[in-house]
Amino acid sequence: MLGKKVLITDDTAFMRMTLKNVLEKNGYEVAAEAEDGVQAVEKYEELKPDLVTMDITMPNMDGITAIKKIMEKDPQAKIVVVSAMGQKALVIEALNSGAKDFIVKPFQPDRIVEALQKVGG
Amino acid sequence: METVKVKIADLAVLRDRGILITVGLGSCVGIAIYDSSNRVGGLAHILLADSEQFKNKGNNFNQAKFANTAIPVMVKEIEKLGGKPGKSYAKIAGGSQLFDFQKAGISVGEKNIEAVRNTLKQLGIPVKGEDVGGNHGRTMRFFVDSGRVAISTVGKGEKEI
Amino acid sequence: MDEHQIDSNRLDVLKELANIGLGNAVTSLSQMLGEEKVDMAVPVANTVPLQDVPDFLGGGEVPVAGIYIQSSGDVRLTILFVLSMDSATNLVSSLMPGVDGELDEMAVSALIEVGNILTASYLNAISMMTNLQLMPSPPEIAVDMAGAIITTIMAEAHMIDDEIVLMKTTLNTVDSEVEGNVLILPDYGELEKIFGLLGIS
Repeated sequence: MLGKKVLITDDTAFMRMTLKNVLEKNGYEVAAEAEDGVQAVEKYEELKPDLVTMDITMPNMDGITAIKKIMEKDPQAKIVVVSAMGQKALVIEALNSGAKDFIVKPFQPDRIVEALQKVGG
Repeated sequence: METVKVKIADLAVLRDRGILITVGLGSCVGIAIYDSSNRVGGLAHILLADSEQFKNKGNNFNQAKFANTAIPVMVKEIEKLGGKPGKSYAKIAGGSQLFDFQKAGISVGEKNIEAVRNTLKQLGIPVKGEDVGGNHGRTMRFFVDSGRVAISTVGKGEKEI
Repeated sequence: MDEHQIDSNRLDVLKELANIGLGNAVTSLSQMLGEEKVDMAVPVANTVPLQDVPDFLGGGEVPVAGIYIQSSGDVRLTILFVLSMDSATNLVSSLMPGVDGELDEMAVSALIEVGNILTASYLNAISMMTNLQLMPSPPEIAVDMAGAIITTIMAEAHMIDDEIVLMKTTLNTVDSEVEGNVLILPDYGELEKIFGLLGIS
């Protein structure tokens, strides 16, 4: 768990800050932050992080599309969705696209850490 | 002094004295028309540019909503009170973009400003003062005794146009 | 149904949807605030003349913070969360303890996220009840006169009928001194979809 690198994706600075705090407190290293799906795909390519947190509702490219693109290039990618949208159809679509877990906001810090540990960090 | 509040999709006319006021012009445009020799003034608060676009939508009997219908209706009301369109001028305010999503393409505010200018031009009424565009809401106060129009904006105080 | 009339039964249904949906939203807000108690007034569903909509939000020239989301998917809804500036700063202080005063970029971002979560909770609940797919847009914020904000949103969304159907409630935190209004405007033409799915003819 120590030092695993995480790519945080969310269009809201506040949420990225919140996630960063939770992750760093629990021994993770935030390798980079992405503001939308486009940046997430780019930074994943560039940095090959161990883990990714992915929001769904974002401008320019949404989370589902970003998940698909990342999985295309790296089928071993470990992506956990962190989104306010918890509708069943969406959760299924995200998991079918390759996400390993789906966390609905607002979240308890434990839930995030638990999910990341389970996924293999 | 009588203060008449002009709401959204609304218009009012006064003669000699009184204040016409409309609050909260975002993408909407406020149009003040004044005949100074007869001291007749009208203020309209329009929401959208063109009634033709929404013709089939029903539930649209309020002509003060659209630039192309509100202005001619207001001019008629000004005439009823003894004002002469030929002697009148206009002052306009509003048409701003409050949100980021509006910045892609042509916003409602910009379309409104253009439609207002076109309609006034067609009626031969010159625009003598304006405070349009930008990204703030405005309040417009029109003093019918003098023709003075004051525009206020959150955090920026008041200015005359 | 005549598109321009909406009977009291249907208004009642909308009210109940708002109640359940916003109840979920309030739960989420409470969780964001560390489980602080958040009260919600019974929602109102009404048809209001277009001209009176700004007053529904308190009208006036006093600036407010307005966070706006539009849903797409099966039904188009416009959702607006409005806070007085005092409430906005109090809310930010509750979310980021130690931060005070000014609404800087991070504070604005926090408000946007609140809007995001409130709306998504609301849409999630509606979706569960109706099986409709409802996707929110990324939220946007404006600090300005309430009337300017709501009329701009309505104009852009072409929600400009002479009579507007809307749902409104007020949220109130017990400790943090945050009071906000939530205004929901469904697209007139799409209301039947909601009723149809709930088995109301």
